[in-house]
Amino acid sequence: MAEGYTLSPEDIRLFLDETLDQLEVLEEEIVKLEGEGHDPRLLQDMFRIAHTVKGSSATVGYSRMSTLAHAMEDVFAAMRDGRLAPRQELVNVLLEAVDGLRGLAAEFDLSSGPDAEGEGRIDVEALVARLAEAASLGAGTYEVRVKFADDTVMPPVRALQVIQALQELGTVAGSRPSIDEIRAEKAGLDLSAVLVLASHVDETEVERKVGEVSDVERVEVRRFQPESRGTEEALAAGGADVSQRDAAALPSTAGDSVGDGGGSPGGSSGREPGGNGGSGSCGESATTDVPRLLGRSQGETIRVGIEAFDRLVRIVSELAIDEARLAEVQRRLAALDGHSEPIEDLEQITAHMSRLTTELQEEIMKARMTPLASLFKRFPRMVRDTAASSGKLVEFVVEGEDTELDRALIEEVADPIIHLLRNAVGHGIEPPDERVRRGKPEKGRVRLAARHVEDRVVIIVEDDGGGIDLVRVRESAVRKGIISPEVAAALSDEEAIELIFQPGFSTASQVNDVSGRGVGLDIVRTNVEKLGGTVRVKTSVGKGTTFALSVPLTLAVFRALLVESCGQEFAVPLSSVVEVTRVPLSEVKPVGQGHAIVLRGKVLPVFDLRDFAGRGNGVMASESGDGTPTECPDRSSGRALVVVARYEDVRVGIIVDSLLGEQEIVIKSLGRLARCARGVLGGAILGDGRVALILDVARVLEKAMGRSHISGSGSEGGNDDRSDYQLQC
Amino acid sequence: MPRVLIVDDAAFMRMRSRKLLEEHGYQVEEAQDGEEAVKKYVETSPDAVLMDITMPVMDGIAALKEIKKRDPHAKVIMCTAVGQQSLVMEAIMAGARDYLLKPFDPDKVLASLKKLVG
Repeated sequence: MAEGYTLSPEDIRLFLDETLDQLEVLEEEIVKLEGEGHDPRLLQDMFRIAHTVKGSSATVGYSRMSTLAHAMEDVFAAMRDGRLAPRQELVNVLLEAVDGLRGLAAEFDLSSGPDAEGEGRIDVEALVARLAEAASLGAGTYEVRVKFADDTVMPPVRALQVIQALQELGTVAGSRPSIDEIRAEKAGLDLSAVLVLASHVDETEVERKVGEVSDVERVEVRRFQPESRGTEEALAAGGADVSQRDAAALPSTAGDSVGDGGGSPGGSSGREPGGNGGSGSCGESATTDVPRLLGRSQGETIRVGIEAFDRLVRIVSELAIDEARLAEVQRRLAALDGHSEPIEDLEQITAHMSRLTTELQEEIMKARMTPLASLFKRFPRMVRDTAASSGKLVEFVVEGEDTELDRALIEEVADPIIHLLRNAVGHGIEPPDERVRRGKPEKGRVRLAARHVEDRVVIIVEDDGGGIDLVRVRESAVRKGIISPEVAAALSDEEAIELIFQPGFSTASQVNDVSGRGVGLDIVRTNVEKLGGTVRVKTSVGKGTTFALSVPLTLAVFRALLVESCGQEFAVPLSSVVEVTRVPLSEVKPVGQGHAIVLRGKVLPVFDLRDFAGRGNGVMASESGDGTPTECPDRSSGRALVVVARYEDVRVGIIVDSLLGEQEIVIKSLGRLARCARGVLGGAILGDGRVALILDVARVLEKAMGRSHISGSGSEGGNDDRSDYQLQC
Repeated sequence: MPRVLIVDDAAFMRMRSRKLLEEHGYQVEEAQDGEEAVKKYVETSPDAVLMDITMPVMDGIAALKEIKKRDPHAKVIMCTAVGQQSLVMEAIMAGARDYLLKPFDPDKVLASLKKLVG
């Protein structure tokens, strides 16, 4: 097979990418199978995937991989044929085999080609042996041929009767003519092959059953031989419906097909290479292309490496900045030189360029959007494994996997979700006996759901387990020195539950393999907040816990309201801006540790950006590139300009010196600076080259609401937490 | 003695079928449309039904479906004329066990009944 290795590195990369994609689907299906038992369609698809991987890997000469895939294929065939039940042990072996295939893909060295001698870490032989052992049970697949009497009236109806009779015995995996053809009344006096998967009957019973149909002149029943690859090829083409359509590829007899699909010349795409491995019996030419066609129908995309894509995004971002700068230059020229012709031309050009840049950005952003399914499909396996290792029974429900999110964000939310799911299974859901004692269904339910809410994506991780005991949470926080007993006693339940997000906090009484690794929900919250997101939790003792992650749709570009305070520009995401208003300074009243105003009869916490930006901070000044910081303007006018921003359903007023307008901004990481500046999401380069700080409204709000006695540094309620919000590093 | 319900809107056809079946040891019930067939089926629980496809009031396929609803194991043989293949196909999918072409070949009628009810 090694002589087949004349493929380019690009071919190999495509092969590996595709294989990994397929394995992900396969893993998902194996887990599903365990839950649903015998599902012919599912098994057929699993068989198809194993078959495809086998063929592709053989094509690139990776014999270790094709050997393992072949062994899996046999197991799926046995299950599909009803010879093997998807017991948990078997599922475990299959999942290990999937991991094995993944490991083999990872071992594949692009430069030197496949390591057919098997020096790698994956013990293919052991896996194959276990799979073979698991699959070594009886057979129950029959190939049936029927001839109707010459004077048969309406032979297609008779053919349908035969199929129906066989369906009473088991699963009809395919036939020639196909069921669709028969229903379309295209059938003659011969049913040259029907493949029946019937585990509980013998040949005589199959023959007797078919004989019940009138006008049947002759029935031949033979045990289906797995060696007759032609049939397998036909069946490998797709799910039940598809296989019926393709069943014209069934060989006229089981014995006359040749060879093994693995050795057939695959297309250079590496997709469905086994498609023409069948015998040269009738129907061949019509059907060999079907798998290929099926393969193509979903292939109308090109793969772009994520790095290449990120480069594109970066270039477009730079372009947007230059476009803004160009517009700025044009405005300055217009101010200098009125309406000379070149300047008007420039104006037209910049206007057009601005439209194009916006469009380009929108298209790029759209292309970055990926359905969460790409992430969510990893979880059923994980939840299953976690449940198995912690002795829980869990039904895992996934909803809203079509919801799209920026690709970069999908990667970022993965870890927090994994953490929350593990918590839900490991700590949330009670052991089955305890659930029964509490009058709950033995099987716990964990739900993962995603949906768009305005310009954000909300991801819910919910369990119907024991809930979080807030009394224990308070005790634990005091014991660990996170808060003082007095503070603990004063906390409302809403505030107390926030304690679980504190560093070093863990409610788990024991550290175990599942989730008590000493890193906890504080990491989850920190990670999500880095994305400009939030984590909220609701719990009800005895009923369960719900975590809601809310993240922006995209990180890279958004519209913002530019404001200024003491010469420093800030960008407030426009999606959070509710209104801008002016209030007399005298109405800004101290409330608790912060300030508030009364706006239309409602108390609105406010936050003065000067507390953030002012005080002639040197770091800010050097970043702005034009020398010393501007003096903070005098507020002797006696009025404060307040930008009312909202985060989810909570509002906060931000006192600013002036408004600079709306702009599309591109986030730049501030690197070291950002780590020092809670409340800042990042920086944005403005048209004139200066940097605006993008406000993290959620953080500002938290500050203004005076929640800092929990999230700040001191439990004594001191005033030093303000430093969190200043850029003093 | 196995009992067969003959359903046909033509009295002449019912009479011929009755004669044939009674000669070969079957007990016969009759109905002249689909609606009556459903009613008779429920009342008499015959071992098999010979059902014409084209009938007034309720046609054979509708009657078949009604009977199948009441007794999923009902053994119904559809009687059809040439050119009704798609209707027969529909009937088979709806659970008819066999079909016979009119005019009847007596041997085939008896063979079909024998397979179904012995």
